[in-house]
Amino acid sequence: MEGYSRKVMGCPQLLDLIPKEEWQVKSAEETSHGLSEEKKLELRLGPPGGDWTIKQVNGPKNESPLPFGYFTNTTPWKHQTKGTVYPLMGKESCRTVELQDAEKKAFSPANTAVPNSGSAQKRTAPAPVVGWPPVRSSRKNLANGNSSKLSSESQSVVPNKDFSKKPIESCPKSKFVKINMDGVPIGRKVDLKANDSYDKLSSAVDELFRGLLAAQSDSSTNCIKNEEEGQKAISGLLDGSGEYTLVYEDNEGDKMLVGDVPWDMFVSTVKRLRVLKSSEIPMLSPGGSKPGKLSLNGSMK
Amino acid sequence: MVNYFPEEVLEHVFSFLTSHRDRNAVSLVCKSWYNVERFSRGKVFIGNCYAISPERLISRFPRVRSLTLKGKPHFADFNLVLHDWGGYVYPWIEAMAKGCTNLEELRLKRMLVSDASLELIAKSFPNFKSLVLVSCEGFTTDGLAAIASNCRFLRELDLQENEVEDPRGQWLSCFPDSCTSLASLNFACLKGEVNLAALERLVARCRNLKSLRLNHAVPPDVLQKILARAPQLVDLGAGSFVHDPESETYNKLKNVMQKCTSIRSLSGFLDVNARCLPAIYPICINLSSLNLSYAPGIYSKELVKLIRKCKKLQCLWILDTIGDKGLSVVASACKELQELRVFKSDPNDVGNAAVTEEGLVAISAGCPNLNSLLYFCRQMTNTALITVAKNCPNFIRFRLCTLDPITPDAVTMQPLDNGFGAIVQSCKGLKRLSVSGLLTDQVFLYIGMYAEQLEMLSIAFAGNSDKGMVYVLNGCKKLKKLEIRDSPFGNMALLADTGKYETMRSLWMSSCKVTFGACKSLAEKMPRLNVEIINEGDEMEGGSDDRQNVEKMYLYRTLVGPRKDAPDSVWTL
Repeated sequence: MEGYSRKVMGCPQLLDLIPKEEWQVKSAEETSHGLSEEKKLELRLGPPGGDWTIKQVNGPKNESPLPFGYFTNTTPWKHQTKGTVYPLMGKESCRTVELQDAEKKAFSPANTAVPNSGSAQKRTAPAPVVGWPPVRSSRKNLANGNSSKLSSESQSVVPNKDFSKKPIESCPKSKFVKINMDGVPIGRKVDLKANDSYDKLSSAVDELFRGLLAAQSDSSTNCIKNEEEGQKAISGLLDGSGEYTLVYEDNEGDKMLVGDVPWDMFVSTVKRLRVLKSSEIPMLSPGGSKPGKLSLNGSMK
Repeated sequence: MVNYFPEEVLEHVFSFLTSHRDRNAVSLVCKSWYNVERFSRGKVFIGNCYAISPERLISRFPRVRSLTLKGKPHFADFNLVLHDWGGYVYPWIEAMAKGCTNLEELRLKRMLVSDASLELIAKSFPNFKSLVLVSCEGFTTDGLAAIASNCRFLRELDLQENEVEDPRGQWLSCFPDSCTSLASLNFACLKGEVNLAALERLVARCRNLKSLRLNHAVPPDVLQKILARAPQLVDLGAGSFVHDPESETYNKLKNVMQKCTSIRSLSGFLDVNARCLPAIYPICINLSSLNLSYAPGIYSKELVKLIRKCKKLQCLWILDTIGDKGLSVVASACKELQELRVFKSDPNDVGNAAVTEEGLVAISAGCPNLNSLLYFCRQMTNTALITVAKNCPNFIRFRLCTLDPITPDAVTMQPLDNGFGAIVQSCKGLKRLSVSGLLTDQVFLYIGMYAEQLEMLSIAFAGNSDKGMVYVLNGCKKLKKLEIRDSPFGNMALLADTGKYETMRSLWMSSCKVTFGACKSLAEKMPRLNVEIINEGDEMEGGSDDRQNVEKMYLYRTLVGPRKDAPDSVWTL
C-alpha cells in the first residue's frame, strides 16, 4: 500500500506526520548549514558534548554507500508537497536491503544461527536462537493444549516464515488442509477459516467428495448412473452415525477423531484430514494420548 | 538568598520532593542544599547495585528508610546471563544492619537473595514493613518463613516472578496470630503448596488487606472463603479457577464475587476452566487492570466476552490467543486503555494463535490514550506502524517483538525502518523502545534524530554497520541503558564516544563484532567504567587474542571500581 516507488505527491495521508512549515524550515536550515541534523549524528572522536568540529559532510555524500544515499537524494528534504516524513526510496531501499544482505552474509556471530542465506525476499526458517523471542522462563511453560509437546517435525516446518512461497499457509486469512477419503484416490483441500465450525466442515466435506465418491462407485461397479439421480449425501461424519467418519492428524502425528476439542484448538493443531469408513475405526482407541471418544454432537461451536 | 532559609525550612520544602530525580537535582545546587537533602532523603533508588557501595550509601544517606536495588542486566531475563553473574544483596543488608537499622522497605530486582539475607533482614530491622522481590532467585520458603515470623509490622510481602525453592511449604503459618498489619501479600509465583487454613486465618485477621495474589495451590473453594472475609480487596490474583460450573462452590463464588465491589485489579487464573469465567462478570465494570497473561487455554471468544465488559480498563495483559479480531473488540470496548501487553501463548509458534499488525492498528484506532505497549506478533508492516504512530502520539514505552527477529514488512518485504521511524518521530515522550524485524542503519538514524527523551533502547539482529550504533550514541542525549545483541556493531562504534558511557547506566553487547582489544582499551581509557567480559567458554585460558570477538560485554559506570564478587567466567578488564 505504501509502495516505495510512488512519487512523493501521491503518498498517502498516513505519512503526513509533521506540518509542512516545520519541514520547510528544516530544509532551509539544512541547505544553508549543510545538513545540521546530520552533523549531530556524524562520526567523530572527541569529548562528549564538546564542540562539534564540522567535519565536512562531503564524506557521506561522495561515498556510494547507503544509508547516506538518503541524503544525496534530497527528495524528502526539498520537495515538500505533502510533508512526507520518510523518503520513499524505491531503489534506495532495495539497495539498502541488498547491502544488509551482504553484511549478513559476511557477519556470522558466534553463537547464533544466522538465518538469512538467500535474498531478502526469501526467508528460510531461522534455527532456534537462544533467548528469542524474549520470553521469561516463567512464561514459557504455559499449558496451552498445543504448545507443551512438539515434535521436531513440526518445528522445522514453519510455513509462515517463508514469504516467497504461496501465501496460503502464512496468511492468516485462510487455512487449507489436505483431506483424503477412503476409496477416493484424489485428495482435496479444505479451508478451515472459511468453514469455521464443525458443522460447516462437515458440509464442506460432503460437497467436496460426494461427486467423487459417486464417480468411484460408478467406475467400480461398471454401472452407468445418471448424475441427476442424486448422489448419496455424506453425513454423520462427526457422530459416528454415518457410513464415514472424519478423523485428523495433529501436529504431534497422532490420528484423532474430529469433534472432541473446541474448534479453535482443533484448527491450531490439525495438519491433515481423512474421511474413513466408520467400520474401520475401533470404537474405543486404546493407544494415543487422548482417548478417541465418539462425541455425540459434543463440542462443536 | 539560599542562606536566608534555615535548614528546617529547606528540609520541609524538600519533603515535598518525592522523585529521586528531583532530589538528585536539588542536591547539586550547593553544599548546604546537598547536606540538607542528604539527611532528609528517605527513599534511595540504585539502578545498578555495582555503581556504588553500601558503605557510601549509608554515609551519604544515613536516614534511608527505603532502598531499591537492581542487579543483573535486563537480558538476564532471557537466559543470556549466567545465574551466578552477581547481584548479591547480602552485603547491602549486612551494611545496613550495622549502620542503618531504621530500614523499613527493600525493593529488589534481578538480585541474588539468599535465605541468610532474608533471615538477616528479619533480625536486624525492627520497623521493617515492606519486602518486594522481582525476578530474584537464591532463596527458599525458609527465608520467607523467617520474614513472616519476625517482622512484626510487616505490611507488604510482594513476590513477583521469582524462582523460589519450596522445601517445606509451611512459611505461611509462620505469621504469628499477632500479625494483623498485612496490606499486601503476593505469592503467586510460588510453586508449592500452602497451608490453606493458615491463609484463611491470616486474611481474616488482617483487616487492612488490600492486595492479595494467590498461587495455583489455592483452590476455588478457599478463594470463595477468603473473598467472603475480605470484600475490601482492591487487587486480587486468583490461583486456581477450575471447578464445575454446576457445583455449589461455583455458586457461592459467584455470589461472593458480586460483593467485591472494590476490586480494581484482577490477575492470576493460573489454572482456569473458561466456563467458570462468568463468575467474575459482575466486577468487570470496575476493573482498571486485568492480567490474564498467565491463564492458559482461554480461547479468544471467551476472552473477548470477558474483556468487553471491562469498560474502564486501563491496563491489559493478555495472551495472543485473543487474536486480531479479539483486539478489535478490545479497541471498541476499552476506550480508556493506556497499557497493553500481548504475550506469546505458544513460544514455538506451531499453531496459528498469533496477532499481527491488524490487531495493533485496531487498538491504536480505538484507544488514543495508549502509552505503553509490549506486543509479540507474527508479522508487522511499515504502514501499520505509521498508522499507530499517528493514532497514538503518547507512547512512553513501545516494545515490539516479531517472532522472526529479522522479518521484513509483511507486505512490501522492505525493512521496518520507516515504521519505527514514524514511532520515534511522533511520540515525543518516548522513553523506552525495543525494535525488531528487518532493520538497517536507517532506523538508528531516525532514532538518533527524533528520540530525544529515550532512556532505554533494546536492539536485536538489526543494523548494517557501526554507523547505526553511532547514530544512537550521538543522538539520544538522555540514553541510560542500551542493550544490543546479534548486531554488526564493532570497535569503531564502541570507541566512538567513550565519554558517553559515563552519562549512561549501562551498555550490553552480545554477539556483536566487538573485540577483546577494543574492550581493553576502553577499560584503560575510562577508569570509572567497569567493563566486564562474560565468557562461558574456555577463552579465558591464557592470553586472549585481542582480535577475537567478545561473546558478551557488559559495561557500566561506577564510583567504586571493579567488583570483587564476580565468578571466574566474568572478567573485569
